[in-house]
This record gives sequence, structure tokens and C-alpha cells, in this order.
Amino acid sequence: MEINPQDQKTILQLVEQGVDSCTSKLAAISKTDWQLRTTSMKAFVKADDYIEKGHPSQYYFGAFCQSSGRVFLAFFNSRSAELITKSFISGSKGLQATPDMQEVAICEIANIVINAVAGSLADRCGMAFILSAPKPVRGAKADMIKAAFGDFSNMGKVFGAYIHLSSQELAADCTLMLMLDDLFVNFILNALDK
Amino acid sequence: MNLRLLVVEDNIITRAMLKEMLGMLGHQVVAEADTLQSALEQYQKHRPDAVSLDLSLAQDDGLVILKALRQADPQASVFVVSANCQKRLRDQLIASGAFDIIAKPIELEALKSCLERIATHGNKPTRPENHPPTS
Repeated sequence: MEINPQDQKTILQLVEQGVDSCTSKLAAISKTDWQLRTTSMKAFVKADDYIEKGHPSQYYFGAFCQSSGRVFLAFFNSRSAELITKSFISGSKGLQATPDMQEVAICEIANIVINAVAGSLADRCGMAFILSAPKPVRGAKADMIKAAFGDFSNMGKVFGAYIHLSSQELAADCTLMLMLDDLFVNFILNALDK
Repeated sequence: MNLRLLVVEDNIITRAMLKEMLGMLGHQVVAEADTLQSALEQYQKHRPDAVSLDLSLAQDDGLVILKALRQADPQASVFVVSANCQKRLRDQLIASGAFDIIAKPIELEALKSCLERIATHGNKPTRPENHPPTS
């Protein structure tokens, strides 16, 4: 699959527009501002290229959602997961941020963040799709990425994006990754041409 | 008017928060479900005034549940609570009989507004004799 620089720029802009929706959703959950820290996007990437070793001691909580030809993963380091879980359930009198509750909370927060980006893509392309229910993942970054994007390992090179968001006030970070196969990328580009 | 609701949601935190919000607004959750089958069973058993429906359930597609509920009772007032608020999907949901779509994270005011409209204008399901109105 060949994606010319202009098309790459178009896809990048689409994803970045979705990031605005992401930061708004995270702000609504945490009652703090969130900013985009870094965006990295590659037109041709192997899933394995994204499997970073990271710090062996770093433990993450996240969830991924998928649909045909597209996978979205959102995750938080353990400290950030704890902080945003507390914010998320702070409006509830009956819920407490126990470790068990944290995994469930992060699953729902990831679902909200992922659908913000996916929704922006869908709206700009005039299409609709329902992603799977969020599947929780936890552990080292490499393990989570393998779990989410394992199906892409045999597909050769696909379109990948890595987005890092943070909230200074909350002292928390959120990472969003997405991979799109060439069929889906072509579908997006064709939809934009119409 | 206080409404009796069925909540179809498989995330236990969102379900608990939704129940708290509904209670704060003076409504009553009479049943909960997290699959197509349990949603239909609970609907038939309780005949609620309204149904809160998540779109992305682990086992079943919320759109399928919406259609099944509306087929079982064309008067059912079903509102969707979802992180997925795509414009075209919203159109599909409304065309399939959804009363409204509320975005996650849920805002109390949005929920209140939706339920007020259901109470005022929504289609009233037929109540079985053993489940009289609460208001």
C-alpha cells in the first residue's frame, strides 16, 4: 500500500482533530485540563515496531476496542490510573477506588477516550461503526501492545499512531495508540474524496 | 413524574453511577441487564417506563438490543447511553426507535432533560397490573 505525503497529512489531521475530543472527555472525567504532549504517526509500521520495552518496573492499566481493520488502545501508568479513577468515581457516594474497581474504571475511561477519537474519524468521513466493548489489559507496555495489536503482526505494515496526553494539574498521563489496516485507510481516503 | 427504568449496562461502575443519578432525579431502577436475553426478559417482566441502553456490551450489540426491545414493544422508550456518539450512528439509532442518545461520561443535566422529555412526551409502555405506576 502506498500513501502519498498529502494523504498521510490528511489522516494525521483527522486523528489530531479526534485528539481534541479526547482531551475534552478526559477533562470532563477529571475536572482538570488535558493537553496533547506528542503525536507520532507512521504510514508504514509493523505492529512489532511499537512493542517497546519501557521501564520493566512500569505497570500500566488500559483497554482496547476493535472493529474490522482498526484497533484503538488507551492506557495509563499505575499512578495516573489511580488518580483518574479517583476523579472518575468521585461523584459517586457508593463507590470507592479499590484496586478491583480501578481496572473496571480504567476500562470505561479508555472506552470513552477511544470512542472520542473513533467518532471524530467516523464523522469526518461520513460513516458509522460500532467498536467492540472495551477489553481490559494490564501489565508492561509491551504486553498490552501485544494483546491489543497482536492480530496485526501477520498483516505486514499498517498505519499507526501514538498519542501522548497529560494533565499537569492531575499529574497524570494517558497514551492512545491506534492501528488501521490499508483497507480502512483507503476507505477513509475515498470517503474524504466524495 | 417518577419513572421506572431498566438499565442495560455491563460496566459495573457506570451502572452504579447511573443508578445513583437516576435516584437523585427521583426515578427508580426496577431491573438491570447486561445481555440481549436478560434485557428482553427484564423488560417483559417489569414493563419499565424507560430503558437506558449501553451500545457496546461485551456479549451483544446495543443496536440489536434496541431493535429487539422495540420489536417486543413498539411503544418502548429506549435512550442510549454511550461513549460512541458518531453522527451517522446517532441517525441510525433514532431511525431504529431510540428516544435520545446521551454521551458518556454522563452529565446529570443531560440525563434529567432526556427523562423529562420521556415523562412528558415519551411512548408509554403498557404496565402489567402488578406493577402500578410509582407516581
